[in-house]
Amino acid sequence: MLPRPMNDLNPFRAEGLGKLREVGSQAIWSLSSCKPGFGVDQLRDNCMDTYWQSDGQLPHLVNIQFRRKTTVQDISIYTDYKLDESYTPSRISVRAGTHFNDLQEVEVLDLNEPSGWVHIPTKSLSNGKPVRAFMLQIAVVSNHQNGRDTHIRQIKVHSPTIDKPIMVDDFGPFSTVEFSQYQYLR
Amino acid sequence: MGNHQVFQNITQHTIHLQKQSAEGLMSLFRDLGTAYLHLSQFNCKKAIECLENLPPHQHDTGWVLSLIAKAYYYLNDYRSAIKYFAEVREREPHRTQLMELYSTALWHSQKEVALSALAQDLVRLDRHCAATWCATGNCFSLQKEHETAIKFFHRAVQVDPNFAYAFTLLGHEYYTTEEMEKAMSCFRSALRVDSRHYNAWYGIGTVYYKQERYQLAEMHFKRALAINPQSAVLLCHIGVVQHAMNQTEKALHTLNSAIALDPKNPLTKFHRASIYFNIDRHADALRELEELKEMVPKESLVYFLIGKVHNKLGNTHLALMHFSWAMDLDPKGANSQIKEAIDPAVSRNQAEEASTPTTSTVSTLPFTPGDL
Repeated sequence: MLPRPMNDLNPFRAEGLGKLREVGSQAIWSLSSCKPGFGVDQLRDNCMDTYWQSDGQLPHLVNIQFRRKTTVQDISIYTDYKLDESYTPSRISVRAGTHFNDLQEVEVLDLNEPSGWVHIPTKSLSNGKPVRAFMLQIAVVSNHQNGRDTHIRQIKVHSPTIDKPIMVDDFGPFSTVEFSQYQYLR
Repeated sequence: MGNHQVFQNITQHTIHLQKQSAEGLMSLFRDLGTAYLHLSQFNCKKAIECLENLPPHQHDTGWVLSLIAKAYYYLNDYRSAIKYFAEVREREPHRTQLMELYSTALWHSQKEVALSALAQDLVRLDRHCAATWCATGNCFSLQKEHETAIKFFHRAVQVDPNFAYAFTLLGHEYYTTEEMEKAMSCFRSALRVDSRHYNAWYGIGTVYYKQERYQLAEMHFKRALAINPQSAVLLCHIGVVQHAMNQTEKALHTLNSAIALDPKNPLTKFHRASIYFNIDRHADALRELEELKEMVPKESLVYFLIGKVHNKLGNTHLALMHFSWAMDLDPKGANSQIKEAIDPAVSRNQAEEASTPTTSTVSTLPFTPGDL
């Protein structure tokens, strides 16, 4: 049997194995709209009982802006149809780019009464590798039963880790001359 | 007849004496020549042997002593090099040849006072000598005033454009200030002057290494090693590059030969220990580090790495003990990384989450996503 490619792996399990990392904490998050007290904090608080609720026209947008160009393997979204009913998104579009004006759609996903985590792999359209971008946008295009506002309980962004061996250089300077004299030639 | 006989005897005797002294001179030159050849071919140990066998009145001259010092310098034995260079300066304070190597040996050993004295003496002695400005540059480099050091190395290049070592030093200085392009062109200039100047090949290698172009780095380090095959430090660098390219077996092999070449070099052993740690040969890593602890009892990073090994083995108590020793030995330097190492150790111990990866900084989720 062929070894399973990494993107088949559950992202959370891959995170446990050290293959992926949650990088959402490095980004700046913004929303197209929200009800007071149901915003980014609730979207990122690791708690499934709280949620983001939009307050405006469709589509509802989540903007994730990174400080540097970031490789994104997948986005995981937690929604629960049993609790949110018509607030549950039914069609989600994921866009990537460098800033607001050059976003390109990388994935569209239809959801059917989801309850739990939905993993959306983000692959670049041109080469099929994980997309590299400064900015991601998650757009809720429509909701179940034509609901207007949306609920999303959690969003996670995963980035692949680079398998780099631990080097002595990472440790910092040596404290004794016995070591440091051999560190460089001159 | 009698007079003639005596005269002939005397002549013969003189001829004999002359021949003997000429032969003596020739054999002296031959010995010196052999030694010089060995040194030029970087057979440093042999060169030292030849030079030490010279008769005392030849051995104790500035020229011979400075050659011995140079040989020790190439073997990266800076302490012996300094000892011999100091003797040279005592005997012939006016000698400027090879003083640039003396200054670099002092730089390596971080002997600020001696280096500063040397630089000042040389400036007073000869302002038109490249060695003078190399020493001065080294002096400022040791004080971490790299901009000033660069100025002085520039002066060294100006006074003698055919002096390869000044270019190399300038390159190393640009390297420390992270001006890689300039460093590269300096190393290339050095090679233009002297293509057997192995430091410059090494310098190019370090630049590539910094740019994470490991294959090119390895190639240039090997180039340097081909010129000076007995340098354990060069071998050590090659081992590190191979490790960076994930060629662990090769790296270990290279480091082993480096250690065989110079068993007293603690850094090589430290690199080997860190590779053992990387490939989960914890027992080997610990053994290596224990040896290092005997060799250099005051190196903070040795304790730090021992702590990391124990941490991985789950001996939290021992890990914390070593981390705090490491912190005591180097209170200001590597402080933050040691604290960082201590912190997750503590939190993980409390949470008893043995499976959490060490890199993860995200708090554990309130449910178990792995079950999904």
